[in-house]
Amino acid sequence: MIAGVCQLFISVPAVANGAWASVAGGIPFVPPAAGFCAVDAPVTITDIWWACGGSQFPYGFREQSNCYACMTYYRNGVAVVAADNNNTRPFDGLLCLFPLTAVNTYSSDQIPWPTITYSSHRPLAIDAFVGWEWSIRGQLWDAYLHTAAGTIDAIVNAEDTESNGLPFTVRSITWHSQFYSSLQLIYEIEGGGFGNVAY
Amino acid sequence: MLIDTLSIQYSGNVGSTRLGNPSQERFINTWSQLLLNHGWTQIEALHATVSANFPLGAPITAGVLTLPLITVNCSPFPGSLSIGSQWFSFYDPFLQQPGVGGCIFVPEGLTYAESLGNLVSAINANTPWVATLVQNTSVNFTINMEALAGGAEFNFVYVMSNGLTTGTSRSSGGGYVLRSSGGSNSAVYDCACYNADTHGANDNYLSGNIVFTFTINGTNATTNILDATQGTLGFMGGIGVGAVPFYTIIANPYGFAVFDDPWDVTTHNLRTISVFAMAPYFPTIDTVPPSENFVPAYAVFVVAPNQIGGAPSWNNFFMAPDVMCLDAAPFVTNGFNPSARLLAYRSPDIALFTPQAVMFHYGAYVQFG
Repeated sequence: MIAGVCQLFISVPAVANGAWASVAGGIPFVPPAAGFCAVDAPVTITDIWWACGGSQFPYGFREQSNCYACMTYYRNGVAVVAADNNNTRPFDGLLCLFPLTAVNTYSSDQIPWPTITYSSHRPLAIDAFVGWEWSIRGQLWDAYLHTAAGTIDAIVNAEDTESNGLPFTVRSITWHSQFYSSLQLIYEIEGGGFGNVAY
Repeated sequence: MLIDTLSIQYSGNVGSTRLGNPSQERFINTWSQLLLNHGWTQIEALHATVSANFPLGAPITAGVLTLPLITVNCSPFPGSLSIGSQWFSFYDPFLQQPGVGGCIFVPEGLTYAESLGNLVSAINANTPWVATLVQNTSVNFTINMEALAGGAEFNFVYVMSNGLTTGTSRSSGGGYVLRSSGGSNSAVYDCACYNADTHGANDNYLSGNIVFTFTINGTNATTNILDATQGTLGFMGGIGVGAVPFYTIIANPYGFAVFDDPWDVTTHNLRTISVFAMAPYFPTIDTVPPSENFVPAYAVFVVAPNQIGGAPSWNNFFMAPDVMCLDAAPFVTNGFNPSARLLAYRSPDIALFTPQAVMFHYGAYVQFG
């Protein structure tokens, strides 16, 4: 169980096969409606949250970047719920994360090479955006995505630098791993001053 | 930083031009100048060459002086041999003396080799070409000519004869070899741009008159695009027919892109005539924390002449293969080989937008090797 002020991830250790073995949900970080990404009449977000899991099928964040059975998203008073069935599809604009992958490789059998970085064979670490209806709606707190598969429930240490230049160690758990992406949930930060850190 | 921001890598030195009526000479010169203005350096100017074969030798004299000499005028163009607008006429110095006309008179010798040697001397003295004579058999000779100056100016110069040579020849190969700037964050490679004489008719779209030869990690790879009119002259395969009205060229110190501007408007939409070469940016130990374990790589890729315009995954079976190089000799690739392809945030089914329903911009990462 990994909990923060705004989100919660619960899973059975080493199990990633649906079977009612995981659940997650939270209120994502939402960037201010200003700056480069703003439009003339930005939408003000008053309420937003998401939930995923408790499904008998492996269609949730514990298994992959798309959550399309037993999921709910809610925004400004409107909730959309997908029941626990196997007729839903990830293409229907349901809850999802956004991994970084090579284009033209949507099917898993067309990914003979994992997405890796440069010649070091280490994955990129990117922001863990969450969204639905084909739009980014916010960002998971204390989380990031790797651009390659990992080992489920593995502990991953990474080095980072806070705003005042001091290094610190980020410890995370690989909460899901799928072909070209893994979700890292940060559970501990060691070292640093502490200045400003945000994921 | 742990998180890769996917920010755009700005070279600070990018430019473009739009070239109408892109004959091979105009294209090569424009391409060269644009790249030189944006961080590339010239390594070599390539000299155009052309040959004329004399299968049955050349006129010779009997060597018996007979006076008075008869005055002869130039034989009609192309005479004994012409190079561009300059033509040459043999005359028998024991029977004749040069008259008038725009040609250069060349005295016949007592042997084929002597006559053709006199012709070579006349070419060297009167044209911007350096000629040499090669004797193939007792009667078969070849005059090889190389332009004095490098560059595209002397491409497509016709060499003809009124019956002495085997058909008509056209010069080719003039151009420039440029080198990318590289630096600490990108690989260095060379690109030669010159012309070939593929005529157009009966050529397919891969046999364009404008040639790029890349020297990548010590190995050459060549690809072609069409010149302005070549597409009108014959079968061009899936790329369709019609002239190339414009080329757009974009260059920075690490690569360049050439593409038809924007698409042909005749019979084939999406008529992509293009080439794209890039040594992508990669971080070094100086620019990222040691914990990231980035390893500098020699990385260059070339996207083949007609693969730009569709999905940015350059592995189409039915188009010219791309060239990749990652810390090894370059190789060509297509299909599901590890061809160059861009990375993208993966949105199920359709386009991805920000919370404010606008497009999402990020750096163009490329994966290959």
